[in-house]
Amino acid sequence: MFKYEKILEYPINIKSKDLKMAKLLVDQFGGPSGELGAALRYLTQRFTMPDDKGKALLNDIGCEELGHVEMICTMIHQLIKDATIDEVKKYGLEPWYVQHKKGVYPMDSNGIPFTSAYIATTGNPIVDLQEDLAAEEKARATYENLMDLTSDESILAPLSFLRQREVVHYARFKELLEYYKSKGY
Amino acid sequence: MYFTEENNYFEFNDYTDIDFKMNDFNYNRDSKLYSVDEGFNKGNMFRDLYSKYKNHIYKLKVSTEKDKLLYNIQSYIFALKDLNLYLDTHPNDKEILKKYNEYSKTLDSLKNKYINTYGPLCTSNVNSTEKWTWINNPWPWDKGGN
Repeated sequence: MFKYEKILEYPINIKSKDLKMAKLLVDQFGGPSGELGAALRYLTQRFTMPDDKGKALLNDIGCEELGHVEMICTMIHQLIKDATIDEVKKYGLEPWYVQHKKGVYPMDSNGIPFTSAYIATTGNPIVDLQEDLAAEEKARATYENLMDLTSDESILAPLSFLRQREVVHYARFKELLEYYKSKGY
Repeated sequence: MYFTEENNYFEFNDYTDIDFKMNDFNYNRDSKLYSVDEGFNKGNMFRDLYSKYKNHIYKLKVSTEKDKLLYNIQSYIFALKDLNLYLDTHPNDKEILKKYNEYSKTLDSLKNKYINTYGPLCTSNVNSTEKWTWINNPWPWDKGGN
């Protein structure tokens, strides 16, 4: 089961509102390389991992990804919550405002809603882990693209942290994949 | 918590406090782990896995007592999480397992201190007989919640 802890994995304290960054950051919530997809991907793939190591790793990384969803959503919320109607218009967030006001909804930076078509669960551990390696790399690249688009340290620091987590997860999945290959799965 | 440019470095010279305890300063170059503090800021406990993007290095700065305690709790939760993932694929690494047990004890005592002073982190931490303190603001996504 899941237990909630009233603490973020890494602190978020956004200095000033930034609607443009909110619109871009939402990609890492509900976009094709986002954290929601990551959490669902690993938490569903875990059921067909063939041994204790794989069940544990997919489960534990999947749980961490839920914490990343919370971090990204917190950033979006803090970036948008004090926006005025004029700012909504100025930065082109009218479509966001019409459907969600200042709410946080799983979609990509173009407003396309999240779909589970972004993830795969093949039931084959080798294939699933290959997908996971690609997913971590895509998320890493997305974080780098986002980091190129802001100079606000209160946004950059958590993005830098999240990017490094992609690097670590990639390494762990790679270890598991090599181990499974050597076992002949 | 916030960030300052001049604060974003991990240098030997950072440690000039006269109250500094040598035991806390495990600058063992052979260790494959960063200190809990440095690892948390970098998002990674394992030296061999760290790869920064361009010149992006950030170090959190805390001011209030509450923030300091919360920061310490977050950093130990993080260190444990990162060791946890490593141990999933290396369950027989006794050296890292020992570290895990050590950090786990530290986290317990930090959490107890926080819970008794500032309130529950989990519903099971509610110890008040007057009010269901779980609902108290701030929540983690509120400004100042972390």
